[in-house]
This record gives sequence, structure tokens and C-alpha cells, in this order.
Amino acid sequence: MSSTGGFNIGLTALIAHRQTLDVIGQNLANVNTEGYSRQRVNLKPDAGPISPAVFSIYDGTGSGVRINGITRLRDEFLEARAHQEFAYDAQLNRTKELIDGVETTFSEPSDNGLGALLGDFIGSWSSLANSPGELASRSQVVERGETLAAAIRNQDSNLQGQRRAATDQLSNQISQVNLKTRQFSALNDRIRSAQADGDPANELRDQRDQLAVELAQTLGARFVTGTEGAVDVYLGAQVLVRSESAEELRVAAAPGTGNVSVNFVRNGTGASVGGAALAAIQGINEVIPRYRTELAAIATKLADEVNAVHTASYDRSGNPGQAFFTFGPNGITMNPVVRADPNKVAASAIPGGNLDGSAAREISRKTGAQKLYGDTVVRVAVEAQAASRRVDVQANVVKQIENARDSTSGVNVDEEMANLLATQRAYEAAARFISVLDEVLDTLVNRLVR
Amino acid sequence: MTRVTERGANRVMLDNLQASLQKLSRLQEQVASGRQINKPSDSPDGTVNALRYRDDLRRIDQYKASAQDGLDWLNITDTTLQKGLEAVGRARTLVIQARNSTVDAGSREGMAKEIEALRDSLLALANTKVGDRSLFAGTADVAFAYSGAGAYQGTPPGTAGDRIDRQVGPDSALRINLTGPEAFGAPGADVFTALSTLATNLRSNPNGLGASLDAMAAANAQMRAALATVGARANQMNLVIDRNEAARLDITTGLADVEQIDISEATLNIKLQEVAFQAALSAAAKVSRNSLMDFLR
Repeated sequence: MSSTGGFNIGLTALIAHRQTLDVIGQNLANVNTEGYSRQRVNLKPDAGPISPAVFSIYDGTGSGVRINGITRLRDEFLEARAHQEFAYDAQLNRTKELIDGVETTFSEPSDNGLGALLGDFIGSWSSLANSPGELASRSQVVERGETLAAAIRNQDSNLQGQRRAATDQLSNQISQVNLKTRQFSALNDRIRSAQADGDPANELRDQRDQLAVELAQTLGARFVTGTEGAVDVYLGAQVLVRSESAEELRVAAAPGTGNVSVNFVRNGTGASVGGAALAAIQGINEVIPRYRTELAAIATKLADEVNAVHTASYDRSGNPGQAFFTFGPNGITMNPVVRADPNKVAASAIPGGNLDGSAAREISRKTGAQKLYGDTVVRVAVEAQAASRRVDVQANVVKQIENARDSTSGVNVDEEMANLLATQRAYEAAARFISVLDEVLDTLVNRLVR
Repeated sequence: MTRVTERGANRVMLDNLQASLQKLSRLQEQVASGRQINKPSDSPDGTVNALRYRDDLRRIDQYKASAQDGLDWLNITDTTLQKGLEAVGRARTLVIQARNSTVDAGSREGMAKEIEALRDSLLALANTKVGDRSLFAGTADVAFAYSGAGAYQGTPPGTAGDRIDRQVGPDSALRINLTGPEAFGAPGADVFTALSTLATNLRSNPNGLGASLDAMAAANAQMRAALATVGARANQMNLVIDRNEAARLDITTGLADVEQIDISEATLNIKLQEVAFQAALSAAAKVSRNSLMDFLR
């Protein structure tokens, strides 16, 4: 054993514990950083020269301590499960947002929703039946018919607007996804070179994991560890990112129907997306169109019920009634001829111009459109309630997963403080060791040789 | 062992506070709006019931308005027929007097004049209007049910449009009108012709007075029968109004049960939730204060 070898042991201890202190500092600094995984220094005793050579003298003691890498504490299986649950959570939340939007257009029960307007319109026919000769009752029927038709059209265009907004938002999300996949592949590249150079890459990995969570939420992406520290991104069985190359995605809307799909830019094939994007596609292609169809059915029922009686009856002058409601490019409207002249409202079941109101009475007894409307409101209500309950359940699952992730990867300040103390003591001990060695040498050099 | 981290504890604490606050804000929304259901998904079946009740209420109000309108119409018909009967009664008295042999030609002329005046007032009664609608013209769009000459111009009974109905229930419509012939006799045999004939008889054909007395009796019977019909219909109408009133009360109660909140219960719930929220807050404050740092020197 050389007389100065001990200094080296002390030095390795000082260096190792200084670096451990740095890692503890890093952990404490990131105690509140989203997506940060706590890091641990792996210390390893240095065993000394492995192959004895001519000048290498090995006396059996080790030669200090060495840092054998800094690891992120992270459970890969838990991460994979987290991605899945986050994706489902994002999907349910987006579904709930969309159905909530539809629900707000069916604002019931209220005094001014479509239900009230339908009732008021039908009621105005009852007043007309009681006084078919009065212009005021006729004008009221026309007024309320016009208001009702406008309200139905308005509700439809509101739904259409929501559909457009959802499509825009999806396009926006997909362009962000394209940015993220590019970043993802760039990070793959940097991590590979860092690994090759032996540089630390833990923070880069944390960044990449954070992107992975976002991609899982938006697209329901799956992640597979590839070669040389790279992580590949899959949509179902389709490759989105492989090592350093990323595919681009694009939202395509079918002309006419406006139905959307997410496709690969390179070859135009459909991507099998999940997460929020899947919910958006379902909302745009199925949910909103379904309620538009239901609204159209209500309008048709209303027009059929009123028109059937109206065209078989006679107006104030005794002429056969015309259709009360007609359908234009924007949906149901009042017949402009009837709208312009309230005397064209057909209240009489008998030709020849008289004060019979039995046709109006017949219309005032119609309930079909109101029944259909009630059914639709219930369907919206049930769907919105179910969506909201699913979100609540999934929120609990996500909470558990987050707790489990925290339990593995999160920073506990108390724990770090304890480690800090232990490391501090170790550092002090190493320093003390060097000073003792110094004293020993002092004895040897200054006192012995006089 | 599960490691607990500050961030995790913080999140759990925030989640709990959030959940508690959410319940509190929902209760507050209910109390502020006074309603249990603020959107359909709050309670799908509550919403259906609320929609149905509101619809029923609107219809009941229509029936009520129609029944009230019909009752007014029937009351006016009733008053008109009562007055008509007085006129016919007076005519009958006059005929009975005229048949007394002591009445001279001058008095007969006076009686004939009075009969003509009675006929005119009866004609005016038969032309009574409700709003701008002739009471006895059926659904015909005419200014007067009877012309000055006493010819009926309204819808003939038994033809289309002789009925005026009021919808007073989902499946019940009540007739509210009488056509002129139904109230005053068939054209040619009506009370106006009878009175004209009576005036002529008084002046020039005393032998016809016997037949005129019969005619007066017939007119009286006809109008009494009409009055009885009107009275029966008015009764029915009143029953319907009462029934609708009762139904309205039931529906209003049902609607309130479905839509509105019990304020005292809701206030109590808010108080309880407030206590829970405060407990969560104080627990949060205590837990997040403890740290090893406090005990290190």
C-alpha cells in the first residue's frame, strides 16, 4: 500500500458525496416540477486494480467509492398503465364537453326553451279557435309560428356551430401533435447521443416522458422502448415515431357530410387514434349529427301535424289553406304568403268564408312534436348524465394512478432532508479522514525524520 | 409501503377541497335559483316530468280560457233568451186581452203597434253580438243573424258550421251556441213571423187570434227549451272549470315537487357542507405545516 493512496480514497468519497449532494439538491429543486422523477446516486465501492501488473501493488483493501450512474426511480409498467388511463380519461372528458355543449342548446326545463315555444305556438291556435274572426288572434298564431321556426333554425345552427368549433379544435390539436412528435423524435436523437457520450440524459428522458403523457391524452398513443435508448410511438399497430423519424398527421373532412378523420400525411391512410381525438371524431361524426337529425325530425313532425290540417282547411276568405310551414335550405320556415297576411291562416273546416274555428281547434290538440321534443331532451339528459358519471369514475382511477406514480417517482422533502444529512455526515467523515491521514504523514515526514 | 410525497399529499388535499367545494357550490346554485333541476342531466326523469307538467299546465290554462269564454257566451245567450221570453209573455197577455170582446178597434190598433214594437225588440235581441260576432248566426260571417224583415241569415241548423265548440279538455269539446231557428223557431214558423201575423190579425182578422195564441205558446215553449239547453251547458261548463281548477292545482304541486327545492332542507344541507368544507380546510392547514425541516437545526 502506498503512503499517499489513502488520500485518494478520501478524495473519491468527497467527490462522490459532493455529487450526491448535487443530486439531492436537484431533487429538492424539482419537488414541484410536473413529470419530474426523483433521482438516486448509485454508489459502488472501488475495488482497485483488477489485473495486477508489475507496478501495481494491491493489498486487498479497496480504493474508495465510485459513482455507478444516476438512476431515475420510475416504474415502466405503471407508466404504460398510466398512459392508457390518461388516454381514456381525456377521451371521456372530451366526450362530456361535447355532450354538455349539446345539452346547453336544450335548455330545459325553462320558460323560454323550445318546449315553451312549442306549447305557446300550439296554445295560440286555441285562442284562434275561440275567436277566428279577430285579426289579433290570427296575428298571434303567425307571430308565434315565426318565433318557433326561428328558434328551431337557431338551435340547429347552434349545433352546427359546435360541430365546426369541435372540428377546428381537433385540427389544432393534431397540428400540435405534429410538433410534439417532432420534439419526441428529436429527444430520441439527443438521448441516444448523450448515452453514447456517457452524458447524463435523465432530464431529457423526463421531458420525453412528459411528451408521452400528452400524446397519450390526445391520441391514445402507445410507447415501446426501442434500440439505443429510443422510445417508439404507436397508434394501435401503426408507427407514429420510430427512433429519430416522426410521421405527420392531418385532419381530413369529407366534402358534403363534413365527417372528419385523422390520416397520415405520407400515404393518406386513416390513423387509429384514441384519447381526446377519438372523442372529438365521435362527437363530430355521430353525436352532434344525431341530435341535429332529431331536431329535424321534431321540425318535420310539427310541420306535418300543422300542415295536414291547415291545407285541408279554409282561410278567412274561404280559400283553401296553404302549407303553414315550409322547408328552406336552413330548415323550417313559415310560409311567407301566410306570414305576410294573417287572414291566410286557415282556422275554418268549412269552405266559403265563415267564422268556424274547428280547424284551429284541431291543430290546438296536436301533441306529436312536443312528445318528440320531450323524448329528445331525455336522450340528451341521459347521455350527458352518463358521460358525467363516467368522467367521475375515471377521475378516481386516474387519481389512484397518479398517487402510485408519485409514490414511486415523486420527491419527498423529508426523505431528501434525511439523505442530505446522511450525505453531509459522510462528506464530513471523508474530510476528517483526509485530515487524519495528513496528521499521520506529518508524523512520518516531520517528526520521524529529524 | 406506500411512499407519500409532498406533491401527492398536496394533490389529494386539493382534490378533497375541490370535491367539497363542488358540492357546496351545487347546493348554493340550487338555493340561489330555487330549482333542483338547472339542466336536463341534473335529473333526466325529473326533466321529463317537468316538461310534461309544464305542457299540461299550459293546456289546462287553454282549456280554462276556452271554458271561461264559452261560459260568457252561454251567460249572454241566457240573458238574451230571458228578455225574449218576457217579450213573448207580454205578447201572450196582449192576445188574451184582445180576444176579450170588450176591446174596440182603436185599442186593437194600439195593441198591434205594441206587438210590432215587441217584434222589433225581439229581433234586436236575436241580433245580439258577442264582440263582433252574432250570437245566433252559427259560424256564418254575417253582420246580423236576422234581416230587418226577419229572415234568418245565419248557418241553418243541421248543416256544417252550425256548431261553435270550445275545447275544454283533451277529448272534450262543448257546444256553446244556438242557431237562430233553434232558439226562435224554424224559418216561417218562428216567433217573428208569429208576431207579424198577430199584428195583422189584431188589425183585420180577429178570428185568427186563437191560432196566434197557440203560436205564442209554441214560441214560448221553444224558447224555454232553448233556455234549458243553455242552462244545462252552462252547468257543464262550470263543472269543467272546477275540474280544470283542481287539475291545475295538482299539476302545479307536482311541478313544484319536481323542479323546486325544499328551502329549509337545502339550507340545512348547505350548513352541513360548510362544516365539512371548513374541516377539510383546517385539516389541510395542519397537515401541510408539518415537515422535518421544523425539527432540524
